[in-house]
Amino acid sequence: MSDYYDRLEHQLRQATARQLPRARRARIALSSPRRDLLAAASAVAVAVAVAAVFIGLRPSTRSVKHLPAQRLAVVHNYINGAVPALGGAFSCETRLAPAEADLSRAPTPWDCYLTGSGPRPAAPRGPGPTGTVIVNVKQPLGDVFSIDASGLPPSARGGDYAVWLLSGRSPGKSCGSNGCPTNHYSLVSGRRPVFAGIVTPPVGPSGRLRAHGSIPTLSARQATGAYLFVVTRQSHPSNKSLGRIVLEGWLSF
Amino acid sequence: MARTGARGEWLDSELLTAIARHDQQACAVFYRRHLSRTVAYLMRETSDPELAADLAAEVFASVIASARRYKPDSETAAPWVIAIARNVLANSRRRGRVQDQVRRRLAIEPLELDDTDLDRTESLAADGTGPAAALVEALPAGERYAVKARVLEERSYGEIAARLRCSEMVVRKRVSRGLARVRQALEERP
Repeated sequence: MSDYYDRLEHQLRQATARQLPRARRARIALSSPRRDLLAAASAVAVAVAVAAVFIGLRPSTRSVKHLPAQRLAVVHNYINGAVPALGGAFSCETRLAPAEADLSRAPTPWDCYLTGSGPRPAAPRGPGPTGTVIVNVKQPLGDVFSIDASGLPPSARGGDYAVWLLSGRSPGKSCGSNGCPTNHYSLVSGRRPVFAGIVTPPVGPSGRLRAHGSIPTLSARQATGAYLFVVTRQSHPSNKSLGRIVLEGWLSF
Repeated sequence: MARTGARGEWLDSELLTAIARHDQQACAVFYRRHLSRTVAYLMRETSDPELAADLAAEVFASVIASARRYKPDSETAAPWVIAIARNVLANSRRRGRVQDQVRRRLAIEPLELDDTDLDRTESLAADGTGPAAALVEALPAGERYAVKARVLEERSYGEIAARLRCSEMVVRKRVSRGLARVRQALEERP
């Protein structure tokens, strides 16, 4: 039986064979007055650009920040001091609740509130772990998230918290007029959890986690549009496998 | 895998010229020649075999699509392939998901991965690191960190100096000495 790389080779060979010759650009025959107009417009554009450079109005070219490789991914815990603004445009918010035995479940009214989706019910308060997560779109760096959770057991030795995304699916419709999803989310079997980062510094005795992190790059298989966002306790500081789920909530982005 | 005949002896530039002329065997030889190195690079950057495999597919699709534009400036096209991989990775990170435009353009269908494929990816990555990686690991700690940060992670001298709490000059010396040791060790290999 052939493996992924053999099948890829087969597809690449076929693609090589059926490559189309590059289409030649059709020359646009311009009439003389139109050509003159185009030339004049180009000259004006160049003059404006040169002037802008001279008076310091150069367009801001924001350099693309080098993202660290995933193995270095951390979810920064603002254990002391104020939490900075997340930045970017709001995408999605959900409540994080303790993990259930059955991860496939109907959504609660708190699942994945979208922009302009109407009044939200009050978040339930209890002695156990609870929290919320917000995802913002922040190009060109990708999506970022902010967690605010409480009631977490403090990190003990070998019990670091980590954040993962599990690929899910929502076969039904998206948010309806009531502002909350009416569909049923479920995990897609056979998908590996996507590591988002280790919580650093660890959760202290207060049990509070206020942290920012980046949504990791998702492969075509992983990018299903619906994700179970989970906070886990790792048995050892590693991103090799999913730890015990402490908090979870569905997101759609 | 099928036999590929005399094309196994061809230079990369000849293979790419043949790929541009729809030569399937040249494509297979080029793919096998550069697969492990490319996967090793992608694994180093992502630490995720599934991502690395998906990215590798887009990289080699881009190689086919760009073969006619290749201009040889060395014996091997490895730097050119890695540059394509770097671009695909950067675009994927910017957009938050692995790019597949070139694969769609070439009508390359999505491929499913299973655990065996992920193991193969890790195995290819191990093969692709080559002897230089082992020699880098054998460097003294200061030089090893400086070489990895500068050469593999492409960090600036200033950034490395800040991390190591030393001057940029010291970092430059460590990188230079480390690379010289690796080069010498490679030359002395039988």
